[in-house]
Amino acid sequence: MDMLHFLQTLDRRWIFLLIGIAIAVPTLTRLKFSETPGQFSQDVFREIEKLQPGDRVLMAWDYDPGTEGELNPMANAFAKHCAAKKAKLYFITLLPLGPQMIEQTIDDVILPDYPELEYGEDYVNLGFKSGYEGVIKVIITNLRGLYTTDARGISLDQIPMCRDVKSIQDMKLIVNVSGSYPGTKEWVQYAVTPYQDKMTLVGGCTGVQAPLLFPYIPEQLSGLLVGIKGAAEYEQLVVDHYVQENPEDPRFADARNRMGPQSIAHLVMIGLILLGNVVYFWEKRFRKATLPPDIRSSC
Amino acid sequence: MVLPVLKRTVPLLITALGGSVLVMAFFIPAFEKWGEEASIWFDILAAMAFILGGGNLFKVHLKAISDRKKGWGFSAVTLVSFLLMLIFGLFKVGSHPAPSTEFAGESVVSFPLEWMPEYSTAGRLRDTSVGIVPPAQIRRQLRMVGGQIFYRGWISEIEAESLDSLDDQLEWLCSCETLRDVAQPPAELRGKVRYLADHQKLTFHGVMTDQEESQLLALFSDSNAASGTAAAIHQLAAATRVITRVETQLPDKLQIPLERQVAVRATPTGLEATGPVSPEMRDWLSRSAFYSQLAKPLTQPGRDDLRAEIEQRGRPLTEHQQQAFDRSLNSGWDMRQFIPVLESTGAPKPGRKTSCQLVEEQRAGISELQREIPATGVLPPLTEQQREILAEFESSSDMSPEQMIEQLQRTEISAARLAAVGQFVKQLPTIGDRNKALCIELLKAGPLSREQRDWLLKEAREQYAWRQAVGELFVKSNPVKYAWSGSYAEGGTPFDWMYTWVLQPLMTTTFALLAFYVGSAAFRAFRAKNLEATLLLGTALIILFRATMFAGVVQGPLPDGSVFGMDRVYAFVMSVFNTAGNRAIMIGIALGIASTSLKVLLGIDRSYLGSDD
Repeated sequence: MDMLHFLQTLDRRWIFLLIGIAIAVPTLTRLKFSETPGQFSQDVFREIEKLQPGDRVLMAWDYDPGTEGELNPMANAFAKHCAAKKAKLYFITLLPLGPQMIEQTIDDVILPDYPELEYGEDYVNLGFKSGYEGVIKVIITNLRGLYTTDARGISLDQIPMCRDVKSIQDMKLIVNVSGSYPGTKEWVQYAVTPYQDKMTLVGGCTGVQAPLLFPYIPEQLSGLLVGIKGAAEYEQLVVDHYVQENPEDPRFADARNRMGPQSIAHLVMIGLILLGNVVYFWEKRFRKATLPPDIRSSC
Repeated sequence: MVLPVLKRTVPLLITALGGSVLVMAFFIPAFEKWGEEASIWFDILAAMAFILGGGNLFKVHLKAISDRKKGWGFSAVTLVSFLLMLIFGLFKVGSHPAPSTEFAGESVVSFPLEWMPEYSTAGRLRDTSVGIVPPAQIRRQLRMVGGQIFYRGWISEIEAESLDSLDDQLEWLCSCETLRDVAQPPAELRGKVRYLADHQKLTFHGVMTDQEESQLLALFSDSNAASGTAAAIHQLAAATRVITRVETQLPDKLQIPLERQVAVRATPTGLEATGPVSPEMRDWLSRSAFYSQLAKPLTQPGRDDLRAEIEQRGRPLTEHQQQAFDRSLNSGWDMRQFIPVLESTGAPKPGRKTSCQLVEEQRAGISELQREIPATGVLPPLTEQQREILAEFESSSDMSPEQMIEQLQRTEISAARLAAVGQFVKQLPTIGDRNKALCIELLKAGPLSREQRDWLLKEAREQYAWRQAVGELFVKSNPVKYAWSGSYAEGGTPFDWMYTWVLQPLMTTTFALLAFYVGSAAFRAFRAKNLEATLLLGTALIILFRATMFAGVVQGPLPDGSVFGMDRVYAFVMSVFNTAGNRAIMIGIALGIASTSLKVLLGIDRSYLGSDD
């Protein structure tokens, strides 16, 4: 009975401590297993593999520091993959703190790995525009309706890779990394759905957003990476194909490294759910046992 | 009476009109443009909302501080942080002005469009029921009056394309060609001076001579603002002659030809540039000093010598390192790969008739007009002599690219092939590049002594230091855009510091805290109290377990694609149960939004206007 009482009145700080240990130990010991890419990650990889050199890709980085831990690894892997396919990359964001995420990707992936790529010829940063889904609504038919310059203030007409782009319908693919609103859902609703025969979208999102996006797969959303697990699987595919010379490059091992802490934390969470249910049934049985016999028989 | 109308009726009308336009734009293609316009207005309003939001934040927190409400200290922290971020970001404190990259190598001066000469030619657009609005880049320069086209300023390639795009009739295209030929700077200044109507700036490439300055002055002497143009041209000339110096150690092999010394010279202490250094000059300077050190393919004795040099400075290469050594050197260039490319370069291309030629043909009664002129002539193969020169360049360590190009020129090689050879040698690695790659490969395969590493990286380090110096000269000599043109988020600024060390950790921590609360909630609330809760619990366990690395372990013994594999089970749960449930919710929400929107558009629901008070 002491044990039951202890579990019934368990101070939540013990649970916090348990979760803290479950995250800290694998992080410090660098616990890591190999990843087996699942169906959804392979769909995303396959879609990007279809790109031909020179194809235009809109890289919509709709996330901010709050979700950076979960989404930055997939953003790096997306950038690596698209740059390796020699696609022309158009970076854009609908979040006020998104420009820093774009700069981070350019600094971490494009500049060190692809110094031959030229700004304005091979990649461009169109930056942030306020207006949430309103921005998508305009640029889907008229890019210059909102974007007259890039993030550096250079006129789009002076940027060679932007001169012939009338709208984002000219893009071969949209790659969206989505942390909140607006994100993949808005790109599906305002870009892909009205022009379904012209637009293809693949995305990566946080775990909590995923259930809302699965209904759009595969017609409106060709592939989706879900949280760190999806990022790790996709990262494994990109590393296997494009980072063979240094598979442990920390820039492309982040998601796989974070899978260790996540796995243990999830197992702890599963354990807590099971324990909570053990307590529930124990409590129920105990209550039943302590009832007077006449009431117990009628239960 | 006016106030209530403004307060309620006008917003109602705006909402009804805006909403109706957006609905029509979605379903009727003819209204697509209206939808764009409405959305742009929405963006302007959204931008204003940022200001209102900031004002509201101020009001709420100032009131909390003033009333000494519980937690007013947090309000004070919020306000101070908000103000600091706003000031640092808005005034770009500590950020450097952005380089004027689009005008790199050019000196720039402000030059109003009205100062530019106006050119004209006969021509008119075909009659259309709707007026044609010229693209933004030519709108201010172009006017059409009584069958004449007037254009102010010199027509660039992009502007010419925009002019052509106004009408696809041959007569119009011919008029544009005529106008483009006329609206150009004098022949002696072409390629050096250009006018940027977008920026209202006159630019000059290279160092302006006194003669060129006089020619420019003469060109604008009839202008109404002659004194203004003269001052601007003097200012432009002075900008092209500004001296920039950087101190650096010059590479031994650096030789700057006389024709380039007008722009860049070597001094006893470093480099000196007159006017802005162009990207072409920067690239040439970076490479030219190391042209004589190009890494040619090594023969077996050459490889043996190189290996001996490495081993002499430390430990012998291990077996793995010897394999890496051969692999690295085998991946070098080979003239046999380039010769077929050169053979196919310079094939005669089909020509194109001008629009004016086509108009003449039309007038002469030719009905089937062909713009393309078929290619004539054949592509001659490379001569034996040319092949020998290329082979000699590959095998001789003494032959420089300039010597090879000079010898090829004597063989009457075509300009296209010569340009291809120039491009090819630009991409060849130097000895520094080769040794650096070799060093990395050897280090991957095993250890190298300090002396071995230093020897292999010596030239690469020299090259790097030289490129840094040339880059510094390039940046220093080129003008910046304007004082505040730098990025608000530039690294090392106070804004960046606050973003990196305050905002980012706070946001990440807030999100990460969810894990702790979810853990606590999972223990207390996720219980199999009834059938629905049990189903939900089972699903949650599957989804949670699948997002661990152990899902793969469970999958292990099962054949690929097994229906009981975690991946298939997860996909099934998400695609069937989750999708069905979510679609039901989304359809419900969509119907709700449609009915609410209709009520708002029709003015039945006015709750968004607030109370009458």
